[in-house]
Amino acid sequence: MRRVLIAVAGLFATTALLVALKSGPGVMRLPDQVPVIQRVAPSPSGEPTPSGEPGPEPDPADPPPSPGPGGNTYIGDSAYTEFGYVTVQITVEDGRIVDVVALEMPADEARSVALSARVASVMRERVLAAQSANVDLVSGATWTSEAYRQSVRSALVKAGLA
Amino acid sequence: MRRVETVMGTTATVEIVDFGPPDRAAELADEAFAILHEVDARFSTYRADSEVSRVNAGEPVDPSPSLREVLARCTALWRQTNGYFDAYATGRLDPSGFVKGWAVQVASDRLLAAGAVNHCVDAGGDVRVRGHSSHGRPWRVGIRHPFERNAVCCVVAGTDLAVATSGVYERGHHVLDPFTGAPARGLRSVTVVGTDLGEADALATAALAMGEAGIAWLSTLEGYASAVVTDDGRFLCSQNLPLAE
Repeated sequence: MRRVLIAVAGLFATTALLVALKSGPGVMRLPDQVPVIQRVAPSPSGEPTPSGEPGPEPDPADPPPSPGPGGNTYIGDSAYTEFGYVTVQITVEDGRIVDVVALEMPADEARSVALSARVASVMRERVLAAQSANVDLVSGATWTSEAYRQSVRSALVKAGLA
Repeated sequence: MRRVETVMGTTATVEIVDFGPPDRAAELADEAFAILHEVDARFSTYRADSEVSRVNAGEPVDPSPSLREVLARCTALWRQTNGYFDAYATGRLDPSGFVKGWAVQVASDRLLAAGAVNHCVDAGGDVRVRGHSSHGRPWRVGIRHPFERNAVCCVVAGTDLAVATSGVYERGHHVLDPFTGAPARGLRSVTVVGTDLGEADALATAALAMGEAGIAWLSTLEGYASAVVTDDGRFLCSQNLPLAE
């Protein structure tokens, strides 16, 4: 049985090596500009953001999202990562979690804070339009940090669900 | 009927809309979550007793049909992405970049087969929607704004969408270029929209790993739409992206 597995893994590795050798560094070989992709935004005419603005630093004073009807909310302990604190809030209805919201996340690195001020100013209109659009759910990269999991766990403990 | 559970190291949501008896809807939600938990138990690299961990530990494992399927799909994706999606990028088997989306897809397929034609399943931002939402209209899925917390940068809408986003906006989180081993630069967020969430997930991750070249590569994909935010703050999307009005 072990042999089967090794065969599977071995095939995989060998194929990888062959293709890597075949294609080498020029693996992409794609045109620099492909017209199918449209540059939609931003234009350089966006309002400049006043310098010295902190950018979208997580604001602890953000009002927590309102709980669903009849829901009880529990805020998890802030968990520290090397980049900052993570705090989540869960909403519980009838002994089940119905919502999980991050109240505090580490800021992006300094470079992206500067960038984000710029992006926020050029993309503001789109962002506001999107926010008023009644979104059912949001697609985004998964929060991967252990701190996020820790804060969720502590909120579960407070809710008596852990 | 909406429910949230923690699974696969993140939070997952199942919502079933307009489906007869509430008890039956609740049963179906349980089944959907059971699928997610089962996939987690089998494929998690965090659990020493998962099939994937036992493989990595060199234990004699007769690969289950699911593991065989996942390995075959990962191999196909590795080819399709010119090696930029690599389940062996870390030197060990780690199919997470495909498995989370795939699990959501399997759960959603199960709901559909059971007659729940209007539902959404979301695991940590990997989203599969079918039919209409509780508002009686096509599902509206926001794509997270990579620079602004709690904001979305655009909205897509549809009745049969798999939406996967890979991003590096969480500080300290990187996607590695498998050819250099260094964190990929150039793209902050990549969203791929199609009808197969496992593939969409892997394709988004691969494009992110390619850096700016990923934009051109995304435009060559057939059957998928995409949206990209670059490190320097440009928003780009394919012409077939089903943007909400």
